[in-house]
Amino acid sequence: MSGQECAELLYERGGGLRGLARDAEEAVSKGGARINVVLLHSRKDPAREVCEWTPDGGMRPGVSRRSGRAVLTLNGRGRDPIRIAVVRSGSQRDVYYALSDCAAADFGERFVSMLDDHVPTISRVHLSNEDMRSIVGAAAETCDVRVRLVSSRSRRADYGGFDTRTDRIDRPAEEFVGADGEEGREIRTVGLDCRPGGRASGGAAASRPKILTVTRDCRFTARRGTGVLFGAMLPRAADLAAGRAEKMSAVAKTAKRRNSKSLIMSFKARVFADRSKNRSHVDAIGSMPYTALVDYHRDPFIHISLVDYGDCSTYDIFVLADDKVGIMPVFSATDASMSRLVNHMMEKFGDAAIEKYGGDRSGQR
Amino acid sequence: MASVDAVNAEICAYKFTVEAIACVKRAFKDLAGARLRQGPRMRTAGGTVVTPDMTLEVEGRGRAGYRAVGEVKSSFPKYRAAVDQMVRQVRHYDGDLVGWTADMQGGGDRRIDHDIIITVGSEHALDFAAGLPVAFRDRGVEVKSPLSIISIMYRGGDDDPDQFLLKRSFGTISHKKAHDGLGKGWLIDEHEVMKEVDGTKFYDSKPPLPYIMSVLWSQVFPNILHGKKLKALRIDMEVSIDMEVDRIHRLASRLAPSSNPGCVKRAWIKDSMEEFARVGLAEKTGKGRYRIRYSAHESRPAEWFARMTARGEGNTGDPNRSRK
Repeated sequence: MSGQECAELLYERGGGLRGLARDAEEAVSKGGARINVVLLHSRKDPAREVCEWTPDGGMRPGVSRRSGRAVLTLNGRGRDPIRIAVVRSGSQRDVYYALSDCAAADFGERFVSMLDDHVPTISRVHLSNEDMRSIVGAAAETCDVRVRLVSSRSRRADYGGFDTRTDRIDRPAEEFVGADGEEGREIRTVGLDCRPGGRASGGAAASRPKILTVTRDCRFTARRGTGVLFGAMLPRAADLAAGRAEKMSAVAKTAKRRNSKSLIMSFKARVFADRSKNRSHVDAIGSMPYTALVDYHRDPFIHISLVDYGDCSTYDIFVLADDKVGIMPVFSATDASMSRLVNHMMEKFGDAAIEKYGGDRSGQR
Repeated sequence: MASVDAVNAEICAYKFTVEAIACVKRAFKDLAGARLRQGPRMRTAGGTVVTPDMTLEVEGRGRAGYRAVGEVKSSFPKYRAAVDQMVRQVRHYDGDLVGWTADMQGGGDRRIDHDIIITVGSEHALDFAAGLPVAFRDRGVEVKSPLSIISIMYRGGDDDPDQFLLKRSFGTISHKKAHDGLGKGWLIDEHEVMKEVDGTKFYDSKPPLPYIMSVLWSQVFPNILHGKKLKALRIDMEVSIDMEVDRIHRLASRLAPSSNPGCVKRAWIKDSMEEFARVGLAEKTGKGRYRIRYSAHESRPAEWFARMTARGEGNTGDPNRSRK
């Protein structure tokens, strides 16, 4: 079987998660393919949602289904079609993996961006440093893993961009997982080298440090090690995604109530400490695509309303402390929209822990 | 012509009132077990109808009971006419009022006097403490009811959650625990206040038009877009929404405080819809019916509408309107 034929199996053969994992293994080992995976959260079948929401006229993908695997075919204007296989994760009902052997740029620009721009019912996951370490840790539990590449960035003051850095290293995964990391640096990409059940490959592989990567927006690539990817990393990511979605869902459900619950984001850094920068903070929140923002106050504390036109979810957002933001749904909200908002806030303000809040509590201390 | 900054300041003052009422409600609930009503209609002994921003009531006989009328002021008025009006307002509150709900009867013929509480932002507390007695004296007005000024200060920073500090900065409150508690200062977590004002966008006073319009645009209209309309909004950029003023009014009333659900006046909504029509974002299709041209407009609605209404004022040809 030629390399191309091996890759074809991803889309031609049927079968859910286990079948796809097997086909991916063949595609990379025999076909020399590099596969791209993105983790998605959706209440409904994502392939159907993509077709429902994308506009007519060239953009709407074709869908074929074979027992548990949906295949989307995206025809670009004047470009080669790309295909994406979508399967449900094994452990979490609403988490799906979308996989393709297309070029990484096509996967990002033609597929993932399309989801972000057109399909409000599908949400993605923005990982924190801790989440990324946890996913690498999951890989290290199953085989010998070495971290070969860490790309990270630190924020400049006043949203003036980022200082990015890529470190090509060679360290055991356990060391990476146990490290605290540099203060304020966000890990964007981790490149791993792994060999199931044995020693990490050396020699020629040293010049190819990105054998298996995970990025902050919960995307993965694999040139090898699909067993670890499907067996350990994706399930861990799916659990993280489902745990977060559950909190959002619990809060979103209360939107119609008068006294709705709120979601509290506790940031690792005291990002709101300098109140003279409140205008920049509000602008940073307002830069979320396809939303509009009404700001009631910037001084002394931030209190704004936000409408996400994606599904017309509406929120009150207020800064509660130097490191805390409350998000309260008003009238209606969905967990997908809430994910978008939380992802955006983490992208703008850095890592945060998420908790739901709504019980009675005395305000007096 | 009102500038965008002036409208923003008005909106900020309006929201301050909503939050200040929530703060007072919380403090008097904790300190005195009082129940707060927003914008109740009351009658003075002379028959004048007044609607204070709030009343506070504790049911009970004699000293156990407590009553107060409260007003929130965003700043001490600059002009004489406005000071006159404020003094007139306080005079109306000073003296018997009809319209209390808690039962205070049975304490012999002893009438329970009520307090007058004026709540202000802490930056204005001094202006009121110094200016109010002078304003009364200059006009020969003697206020018999216990009158107090409560200042609200926002405390951010440090490691604590952000809080509001309520402090009695002038006068007396006839409920001892509230008098002492607020004398020392009473802290309320911001989150408690936000929970209270969750979804509360109005109180009984008419907000600036761009504010009502932006609340309708960003909270009320999206609420009725589902399924096909949502998809059309994304693809076609603009959708039409047919709505009656009554329905919009009903939905907007869900953004009123629970203690005063009727405070959003139909006329506010009607005025806003007329303004939407005037600036070309809606079209009147019948009596009390409008077709809204809704789009996913991503700029700040309040500023967008402030600019639109400001532009409009210069073109109406109404000689009574300022053309500054």
